[in-house]
Amino acid sequence: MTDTVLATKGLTKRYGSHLAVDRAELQVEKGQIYGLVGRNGAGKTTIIRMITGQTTPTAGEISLFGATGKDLLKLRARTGVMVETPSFYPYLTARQNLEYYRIQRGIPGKGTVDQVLEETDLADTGKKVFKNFSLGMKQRLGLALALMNRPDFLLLDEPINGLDPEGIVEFRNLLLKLNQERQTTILISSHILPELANLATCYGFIDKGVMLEQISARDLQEKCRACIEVQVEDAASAALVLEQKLGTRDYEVLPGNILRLYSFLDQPQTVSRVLVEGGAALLSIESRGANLEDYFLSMIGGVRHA
Amino acid sequence: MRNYLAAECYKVFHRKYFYLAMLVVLALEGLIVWGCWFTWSNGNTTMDFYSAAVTMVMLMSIGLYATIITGDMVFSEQYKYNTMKNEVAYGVPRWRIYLGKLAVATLVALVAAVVMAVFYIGGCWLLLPHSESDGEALNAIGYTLAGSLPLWLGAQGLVLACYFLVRNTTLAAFVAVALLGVLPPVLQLCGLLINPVFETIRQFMPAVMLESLRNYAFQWDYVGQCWIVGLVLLVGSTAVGMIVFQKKEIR
Repeated sequence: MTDTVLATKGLTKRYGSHLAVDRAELQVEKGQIYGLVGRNGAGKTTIIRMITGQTTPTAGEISLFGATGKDLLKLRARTGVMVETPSFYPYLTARQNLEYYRIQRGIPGKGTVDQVLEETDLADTGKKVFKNFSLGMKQRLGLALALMNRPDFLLLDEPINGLDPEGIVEFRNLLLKLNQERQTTILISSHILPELANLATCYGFIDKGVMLEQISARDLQEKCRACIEVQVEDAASAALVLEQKLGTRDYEVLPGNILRLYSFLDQPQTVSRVLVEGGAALLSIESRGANLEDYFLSMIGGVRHA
Repeated sequence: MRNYLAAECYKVFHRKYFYLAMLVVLALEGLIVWGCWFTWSNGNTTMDFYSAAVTMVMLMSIGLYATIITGDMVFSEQYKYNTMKNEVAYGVPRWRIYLGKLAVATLVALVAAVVMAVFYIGGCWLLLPHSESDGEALNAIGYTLAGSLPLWLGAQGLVLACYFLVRNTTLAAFVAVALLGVLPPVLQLCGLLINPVFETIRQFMPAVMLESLRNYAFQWDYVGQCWIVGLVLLVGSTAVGMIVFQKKEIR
């Protein structure tokens, strides 16, 4: 029994001369909330489409719950999917749309539809047909469909687009509840990085079809930890000065004679003065610290909109 | 597959499209029946059940084009509304999606055909005078239906393939009309101008065979030919449609 819910190996998608996804390697473990981060056109949706079978990979392999190839088809029934804008029959009501899919998927119990409508706050939509729904209601119906079969793995592509602030908070709480109470594994792609930072336990960064990095939220937090970064001519002697004059060992030495000091964050002038007085040849000093957005932007090499 | 068929039936019978289409067709039929009755009640003694019922034989070609409507009812503009992704992403096999829709479209077409036939024949039976020729009329209808059914079935397969393969529903309907209705006269022209083989091919076009059924009254060999052509069209178009749909990108 594997704990890996999703793994891709060399996943590639080419449209003519355009390489949409280039040998992407993803690994999502059971119980994770995996945030897939990338700009528009980075390849996030294409990856999700390949996982859901909407498009065939040009090359590479997808493993879902440990199964590959033709066995994938059956295991997709254990997933709940919301890719791009939720799509339903415009002339049917929320209940009729969900009932149609409930019958099609062989999900037992007519109460299932009522339950998910209740969970997604759509129980009182009555005879209103889908085409008259607001964007937020459409998003919630999309989520209702994704949840109807009590999935083990949720794949959500930009799920909070169109939700109002209150809806975003409710949505976040619902996902956290599903993850904690039902151990539902979640892969979520979003542009709204601060929101993703509230949810994800692991991140995958993608740009121009290439997976740049996969990192756990804990490691990311560590990497983004606020510090004073100094570059000196001799890191060893500078470290000695810090210990003797400031009485701290809360620092680390990086290659290139760089020191990262995690205390005295609000006193960079003091640090600078102590180092100079202690005889350390100071080349540069700066306060550092990043959030998810900064980290992503630094990774893709510039200030661009995520 | 049973779940898929049940869901498609749920969708078709929970929207107004089917009922409105039936209402329009039955209203038109009612108009014809009323016209026959009006003619008879105004002293035209040649109008009776036989002559009214035999008119139905002339209307069989309409069934060929009605498959465009039944196909649309079931396919429900899935590409326009992007609803196909909900099925594929859940792991419903594409062959099941294709065959399920074909089966339900055929079922809907049959239900509609039975309702229309019963309504028309029943109306004529109730309103018009009867004669010794009544049996002949019913035999003629039975014969024509026996030859028409497989051709309708083949047309339904072709129409559904168009809906699956052409992303735009309106364009798909035009392609279907072109293949069913425009191709025969084009082949006829090619037969005259290029090579007589085109005229031979035209003779096996469903629209032409439906017209010819009347000229081959009670020749069961011809009905057999209709079955062969209808089934070849159904299997061929379904095979092509399914193969292409297997690889089609779903948005």
